[in-house]
Amino acid sequence: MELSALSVTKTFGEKIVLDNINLTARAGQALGLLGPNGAGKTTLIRIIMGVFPPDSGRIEVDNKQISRSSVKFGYLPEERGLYPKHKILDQMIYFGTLRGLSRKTAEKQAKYWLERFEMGQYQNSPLLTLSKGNQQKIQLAVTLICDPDIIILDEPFSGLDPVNAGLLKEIVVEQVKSGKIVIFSSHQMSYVEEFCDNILLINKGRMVLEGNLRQIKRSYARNRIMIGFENADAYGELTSLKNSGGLGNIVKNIEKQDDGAVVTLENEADRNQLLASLINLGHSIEAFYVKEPSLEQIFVERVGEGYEQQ
Amino acid sequence: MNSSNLGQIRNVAAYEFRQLTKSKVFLSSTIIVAIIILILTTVVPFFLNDLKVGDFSPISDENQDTIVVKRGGVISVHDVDGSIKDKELFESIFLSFELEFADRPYDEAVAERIREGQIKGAIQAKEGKFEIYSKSSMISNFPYEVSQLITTYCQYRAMNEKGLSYEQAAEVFAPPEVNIINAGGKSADDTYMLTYLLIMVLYISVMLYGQMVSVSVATEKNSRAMELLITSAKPNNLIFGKILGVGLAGLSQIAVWIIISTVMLQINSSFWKKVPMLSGLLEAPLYLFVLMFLFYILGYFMYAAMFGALGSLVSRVEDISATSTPVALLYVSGFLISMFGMMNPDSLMMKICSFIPFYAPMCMFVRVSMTDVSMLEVAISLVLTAATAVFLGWLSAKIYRVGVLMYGKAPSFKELGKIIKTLKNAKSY
Repeated sequence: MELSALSVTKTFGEKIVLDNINLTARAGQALGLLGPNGAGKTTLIRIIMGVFPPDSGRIEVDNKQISRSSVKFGYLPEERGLYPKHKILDQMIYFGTLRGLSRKTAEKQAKYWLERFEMGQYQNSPLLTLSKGNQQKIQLAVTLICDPDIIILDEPFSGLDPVNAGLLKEIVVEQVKSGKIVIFSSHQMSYVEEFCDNILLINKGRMVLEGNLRQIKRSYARNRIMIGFENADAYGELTSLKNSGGLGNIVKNIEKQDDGAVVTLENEADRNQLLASLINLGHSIEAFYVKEPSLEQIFVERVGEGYEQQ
Repeated sequence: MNSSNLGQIRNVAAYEFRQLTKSKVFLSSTIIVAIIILILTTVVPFFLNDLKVGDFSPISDENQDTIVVKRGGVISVHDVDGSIKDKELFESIFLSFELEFADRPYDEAVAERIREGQIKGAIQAKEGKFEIYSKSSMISNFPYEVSQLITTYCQYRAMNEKGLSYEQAAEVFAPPEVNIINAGGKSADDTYMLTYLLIMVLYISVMLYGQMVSVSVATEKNSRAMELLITSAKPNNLIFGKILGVGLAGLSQIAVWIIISTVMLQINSSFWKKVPMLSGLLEAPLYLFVLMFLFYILGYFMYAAMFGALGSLVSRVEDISATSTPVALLYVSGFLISMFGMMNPDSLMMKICSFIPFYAPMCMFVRVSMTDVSMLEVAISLVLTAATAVFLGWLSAKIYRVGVLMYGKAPSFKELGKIIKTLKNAKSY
């Protein structure tokens, strides 16, 4: 199964919220939907789910116009919301039936997910009696109740402690492996890097970056080298060597870091020359590898670019 | 509309119905009103029976050992110059009062007793004229009652002075048997109370449940449950399901009350039949209730649709009252028109208003209930109201669809029109 958004454009009044957005999400993979606040992520999600139509463009499943009666969605909105005063099991069954389950199946599924999230004992309590983290787990259970084909998670990890975050991680991985399409929107880049094979970065309604996360990272210049020495004194010697011109003109910059130093080369082809110079220093080398940019760096750089352009 | 839509509407309606009827507010209001009905229908007959002060007859029946209860209270009678010639007659006419005769004129001491409530009032007779003293009060008809009794006394005296005995005078005063028979179909008097009650039920319940729809929509928006609802079900199904569910909860509440009232009225029917304005209630024809049901459904749907749309426009429950004021005023004006119209249900205003859909449920109902209206007129009114209800349902679904995702300030009607226009071309995509 493949979900795609093709040239989706949406305006609210004068404001262009989405401008020619393309997205592809495949079964068994997680897609990271990234963007700063107000970039248009929620609008894109709503268009995918059919809350409102795009001004132009299409949403397709397997190259055919999406039929929302045959594709089941599970949506965890960023603005969490259920009925605070209603009993948990009641409302879980309700949302299950709204998405096409029979009452009986909905009840079975609700109980299964409550158990999965270790929330079984709360099934007859009103939602508002639960802690924020537990409410969050109920919200996730509601998202998954109808065994959705497409799961859209907007900031699923906010408000969860490490134990529950681990539990959720396990469930998300399990869903991805079982062949679901997962769209994952978050500002917590470490989670995105962990789960997502592909990303779509949008800013002010425009696509900034799209594609396989590995390839994106590899496409960046591979001129940043992480170096680790056994002896911490070696870093000082390396800096003086650079300042005295002993490294020639291949090194642009040296940043000291907690666990070593990052050397930025003028040209990535000079890597072996750098290594040779390091060996000549005579200290024992523990690490020498190309440091890829983190998603966070890419995000800040790309979104920053966008700001400058405007 | 396909079966999955119907299923969704049914799911929404069932959930709304269950949650509403389970809520403490709903249960307690149902029970409290039921208790009030029980109290009114059991206590009032005894109370009214008790209040019936024995009919006055100046001729005391010697053979009957009657214990006269002096309910009216004490009246101090100041007969300064012997104007009351026949004290015995005077006393027998003031049967229900305890009289204290005195020769001295009315003075401050007596006034003090009246003020302190020791005595009900005082009468001063002087030179054939009477003065009545009492504490003035909105609800007391004491002075009128006393003045009537004095008039009766004077009439008997005058007859007696012309040579008639009191018995003969009593015969003169005996009212002839006159029966008022209504030749013009329904009697407005008989149906007044019934219509009044039913209009009240119609008014209160449509208002109550209509606003409940808007509160419910705004609450979902406020708690952001809407985010999930709108992505789980079609907006049309959500709003119509809600209107249906709340309406059914309302109907079942009213049904409970009507059943209790009917049973209680039947139990005491011998009493209620004697109360002139209520007698119509027991003999009300079935079609009146059927018609009331129809108008209730249409009126409720019409106003609930409007209230629901308004509820979707506000972000906080507190803002509803301000936003829904225009609709509430429209509805209250219809209620007032029909209430005043009950004085004269055949008036031109009532005829016109009974064809204005917003007013028709109450105004046409008043006319049908109190006068004779042709079936054609009723049918036209029903069709017009139904058409308006359908149109408003359609419009409110459009507004709801846009409104539920808008947070912040409620949009003006102009802004709203623009947004709906942009949606118009986008078919159910």
